[in-house]
Amino acid sequence: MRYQICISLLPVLLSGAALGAAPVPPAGSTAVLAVLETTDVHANVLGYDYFKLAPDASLGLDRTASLIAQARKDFANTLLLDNGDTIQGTALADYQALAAPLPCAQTLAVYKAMNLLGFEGGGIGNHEFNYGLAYLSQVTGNRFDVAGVDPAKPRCAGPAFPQVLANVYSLKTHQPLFAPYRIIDKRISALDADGKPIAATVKVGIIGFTPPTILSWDKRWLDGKIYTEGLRETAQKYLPEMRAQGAELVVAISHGGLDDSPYSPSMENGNYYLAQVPGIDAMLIGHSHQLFPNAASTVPQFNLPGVDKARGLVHGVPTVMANLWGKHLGVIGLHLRFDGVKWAVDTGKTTVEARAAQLADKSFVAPDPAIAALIADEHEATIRYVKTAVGASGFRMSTYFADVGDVSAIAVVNRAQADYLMRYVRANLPQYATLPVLSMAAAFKSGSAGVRDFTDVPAGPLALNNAADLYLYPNALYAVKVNGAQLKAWLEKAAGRFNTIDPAKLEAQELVNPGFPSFNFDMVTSAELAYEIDVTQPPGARIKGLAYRGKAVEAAQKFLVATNNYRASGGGNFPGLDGSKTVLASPDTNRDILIAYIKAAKTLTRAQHGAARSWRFAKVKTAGPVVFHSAPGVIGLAHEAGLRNVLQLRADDGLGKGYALYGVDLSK
Amino acid sequence: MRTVALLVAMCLCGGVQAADSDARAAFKLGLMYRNTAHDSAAAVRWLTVAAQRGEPAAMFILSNMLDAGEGTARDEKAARAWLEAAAELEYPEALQQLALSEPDPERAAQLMREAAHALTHRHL
Repeated sequence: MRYQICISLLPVLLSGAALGAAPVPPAGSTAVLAVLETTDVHANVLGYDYFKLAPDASLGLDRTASLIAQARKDFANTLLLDNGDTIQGTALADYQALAAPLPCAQTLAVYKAMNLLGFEGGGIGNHEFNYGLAYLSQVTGNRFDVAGVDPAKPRCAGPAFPQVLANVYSLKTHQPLFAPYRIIDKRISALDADGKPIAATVKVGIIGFTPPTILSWDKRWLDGKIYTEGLRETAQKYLPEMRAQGAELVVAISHGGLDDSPYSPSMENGNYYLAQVPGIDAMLIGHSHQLFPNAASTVPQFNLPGVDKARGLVHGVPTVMANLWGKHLGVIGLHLRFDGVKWAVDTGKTTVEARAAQLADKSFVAPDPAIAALIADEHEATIRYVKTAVGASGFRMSTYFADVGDVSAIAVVNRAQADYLMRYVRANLPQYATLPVLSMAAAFKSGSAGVRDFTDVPAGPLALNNAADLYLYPNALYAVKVNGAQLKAWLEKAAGRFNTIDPAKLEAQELVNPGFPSFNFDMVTSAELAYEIDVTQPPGARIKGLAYRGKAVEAAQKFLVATNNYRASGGGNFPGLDGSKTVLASPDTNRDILIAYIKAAKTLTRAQHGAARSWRFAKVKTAGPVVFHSAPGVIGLAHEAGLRNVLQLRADDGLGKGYALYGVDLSK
Repeated sequence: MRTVALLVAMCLCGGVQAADSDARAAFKLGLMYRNTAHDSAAAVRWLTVAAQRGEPAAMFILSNMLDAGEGTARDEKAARAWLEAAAELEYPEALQQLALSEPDPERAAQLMREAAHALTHRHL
């Protein structure tokens, strides 16, 4: 066992026994060992949001560090273990894996932080496989003898603690990919039967499991290279072996939750059954991003027979799940007793808790500044990466006037989505090759959260964080097949964004219904499709003159429409969209598709990417003004977008939130 | 209509006490009643069967229908409960829906990040 000597560990080492071989303790000696768990850290080393480019105090291993330090004060002996899903999930992770691949001699930022914190063991989650086996081999410092990875490659830098995984095997060698288990000689401070402090060693076996479902999630990396075995069979094979090799305690590090469906070796969350295999003293679980124990939990997996959600027991096995992103630290306090031959757990005294980084007054524990200092270079490089130009735009793209027809920030999203879908259909769905392809997008930011809550990307270089501004939500591209009637019903629902305008009314009328969110105002922006929105009509009867390539759309005419998973699966409750029309559920996110499109296009121009309007308001002369609210002083953008019927009425709408009042002349 | 009738017959043979693995079939039947047979009340019944057997996609649509009073009396509380149940099963769209309706921006951001994460290992 290698110890990382670091400042946070020094008090533990100094207060503990001198290093050296510990003699066999007398019978009746006792000790308390706290097993500490982090899980699903997802490369949140620092509490920082790389797309907003702003600190985020609610997460990060730098704050978990304070919980770890506190636990080390509370318990004489601790064993710090990580449950996995550690190396993927932030722009920092993507930067180190994809943008500037980590050199062999360097340690991944998250493992550097874990080394500093003195982690003593770790498991492997499903997301560890997201960047492929060669990368995983490199960053964990493990040689893999699998197809596609050169086994002769030098062993690269990795974590300074052992990583275990028992249920994933190389198809080439039929050997486990990682060490299936390790037995740690854990030096502890104990008390002899008379209460006198003594030094001792307890042999702690750690064994790791990951969801067998990695084979479908990361098929492209894993197919033909590895296979998995079920949690139950794996534990039945290795637990007796670990005991035979001297393990006095066994801690299962299992990336997964609980599921009482009939057992299957391929089940995702097999720990309900793992806990029933005799010989596990403590179980660290994860993957579901939940808290356990938690007496108030309504989560189905923690309300199963045999699960004590208040005390943290699964079929009697002390079990903890420490939420995600470093928000919690799992703490299992094991009271040990030496019987003259070996250490064993006094199960009646075991404590299980998940300690939060957020305090009762909603503030958060202080971060450990040593972590930020340790990975300052990687952090700064990631920020530069997020700001790196992927292309450029010749025009400013904004949503200040999206409700009245400015498509500058929406048309490029539709272009990218339609382009992706057309290419996908050509390659993979020949049965749909003759169908017209359309795309729907909406303004996700339209001032509902304040006067600065608009998409506004300046002309010039476009960086990754600009793409996040253009496509805010974490969606995947889905395509649906609809007929003309369904297309019209979709647009009708979207036109619910507007109030019904009475042309005869002399008083000012508000155009926009604030109860209908802008993200549900889907629109097509294509030269091929045209329609009018008649706001003098009630919702459901507003779409007029719907035409494709100049011809009225027929009710039975078929279309493919690119949208997102939220809409295609029923989000917003659009008519007929409930998953039943989905013909493509892409693994690619709309934002990544937009980024790829911008990279290929290099420079966006208003003529090509920001001007195609499919819809206009049906012309009507109103007796009084029709008004809406947006940020002040941006009327020039409406004019640049060709909206000559819009004018600023008052720079301050008088409602005290900083918006200006604008008018739209529906007769033009 | 013949297809619907046939599927109804198939499902009824197993009775409403069909095994949990039939949740997906009940969901599809619910969608068919909603979209093809235009019988919203029957759709609600089958979606409820699917939802009670743990199908998050059915919970999500059922939540929509309860919220809109489609095929059943409007019941915002039940709609919310099914939405939360789907979110607890890491159904990305349910997490996104909760995020979109969450007034606390910090909590909303967390839900949206959870939706992003759930999408990376969804079951299709």
